[in-house]
Amino acid sequence: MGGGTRQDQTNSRSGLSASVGSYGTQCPESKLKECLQIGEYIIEHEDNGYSLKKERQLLGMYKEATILTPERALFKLDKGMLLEVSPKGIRKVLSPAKAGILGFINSDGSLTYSTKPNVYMVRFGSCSDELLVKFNEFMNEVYGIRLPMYRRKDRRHFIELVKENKEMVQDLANYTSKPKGDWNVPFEYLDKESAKMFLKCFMSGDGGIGYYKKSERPTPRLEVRFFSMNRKGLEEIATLLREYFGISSSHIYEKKKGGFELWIIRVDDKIKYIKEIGSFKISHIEAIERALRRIEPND
Amino acid sequence: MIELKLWQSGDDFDEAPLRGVMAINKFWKKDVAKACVDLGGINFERGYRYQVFVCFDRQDKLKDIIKKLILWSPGSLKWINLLLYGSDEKSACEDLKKVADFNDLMDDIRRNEEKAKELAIRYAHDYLKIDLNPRKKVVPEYIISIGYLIQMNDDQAIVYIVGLNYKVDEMIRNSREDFNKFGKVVGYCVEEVEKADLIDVEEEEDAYYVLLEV
Repeated sequence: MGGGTRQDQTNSRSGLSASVGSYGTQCPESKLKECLQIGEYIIEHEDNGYSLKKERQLLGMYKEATILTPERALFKLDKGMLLEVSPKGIRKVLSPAKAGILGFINSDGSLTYSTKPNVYMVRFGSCSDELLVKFNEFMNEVYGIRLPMYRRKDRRHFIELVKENKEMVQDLANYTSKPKGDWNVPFEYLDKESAKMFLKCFMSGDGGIGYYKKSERPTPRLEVRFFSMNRKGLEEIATLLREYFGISSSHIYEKKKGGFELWIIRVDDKIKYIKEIGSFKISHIEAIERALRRIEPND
Repeated sequence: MIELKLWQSGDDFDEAPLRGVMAINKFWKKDVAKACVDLGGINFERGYRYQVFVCFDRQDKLKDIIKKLILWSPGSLKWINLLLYGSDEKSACEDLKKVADFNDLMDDIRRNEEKAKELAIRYAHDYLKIDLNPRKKVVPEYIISIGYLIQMNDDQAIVYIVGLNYKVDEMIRNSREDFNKFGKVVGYCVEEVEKADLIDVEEEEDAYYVLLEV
């Protein structure tokens, strides 16, 4: 971060009062390309990036913005984090890729964070190649690392991605309680896009989407469910579905035979899930396509 | 009964037998007479999830049992636990109310379906507060659990297959194929539907779908 000379920054500030407006406004008498005001914050686009100011004080300089609207801006930070600027204030949020990594780890992965002995390991295992590829793609995007694959001889088609890396594990452990036991939803670091990716990746690992037509039944049934041994975690998934996507008809089943299942109950909510969130798992994608072909035959 | 968690999804599979041996050496005292390895997994692609209990009576069998379970269990494994029992306690394989043959199992499933339909009609009527359209079917939906008692050489295992009632035929067909390496199925059991809670009623063009928790 940081950029531009002190003189450049002073020039930027001096042009501020004349140029603040909606995004895209030309800023006269300065080197600024565009200015934007979001609540109390001023964002100035310069040749070498963006400066963020509040009451004329420079809060930071950012090379890249992923979203810039009069209501909200997102700036890229390192390790897959974003800085969100909105009228409510500023906060760090997970990029979709990093939220996806956490969704995968909370379902079929693990984080080992141990100081005695020193072991810092991230692991993700699956029988589905498409999930392994997606996990590696996200790890590469966030940390610039691809995890080596290990094919297990004692599990059919099962491949593990394993990497020892202290910095990476310490960073991920800031956003999930998985190394200490049960996983959690990192609410305070999510926006709608990252919430969507977290759910999509968790569903890919520990969920089920099916569309079944039985001969004796009049209408095929769409199933959307999540499985976990962690009831509190599933309750948090239900909250996430409700708060970000308006999917309110979920129910958690507790069977004597171990584990919990969270079901989306109403058809309109199930359709909302498959349309807005979905899954990376091929069998889920196929079921979604079958369901949508019937629900919306002309699309 | 003592429950010891050995492994969970995402951990290294190789750790499970090692932790198992450490745990059983530490906790198998004079008052322990038998044990079970409890493994849970999901196999939604085949229409079900499951839980396996392999019951045994000698400490030295544990490592081999865990390795075989990892090798043979289908789908995605979620947990492996070790359960230790005193001589006056019933293990998972002993604690079965009724063990039936396959024909009896199918009869029990049909009886469950009739009972669930009866409950569904009552609930649908109460929930919608209208007279049901007689031209529409009332279709109960609920999760069922079917147990297969399996003879694994000297030991016994009980495998519970958990899935939706309306996919039961597919679930049974797939799971019998998926678990055939475990050994010969010597009996079946299914929980009887006695009562249920209503989760939701959905009215569609030609049927009322009544989601129950039995």
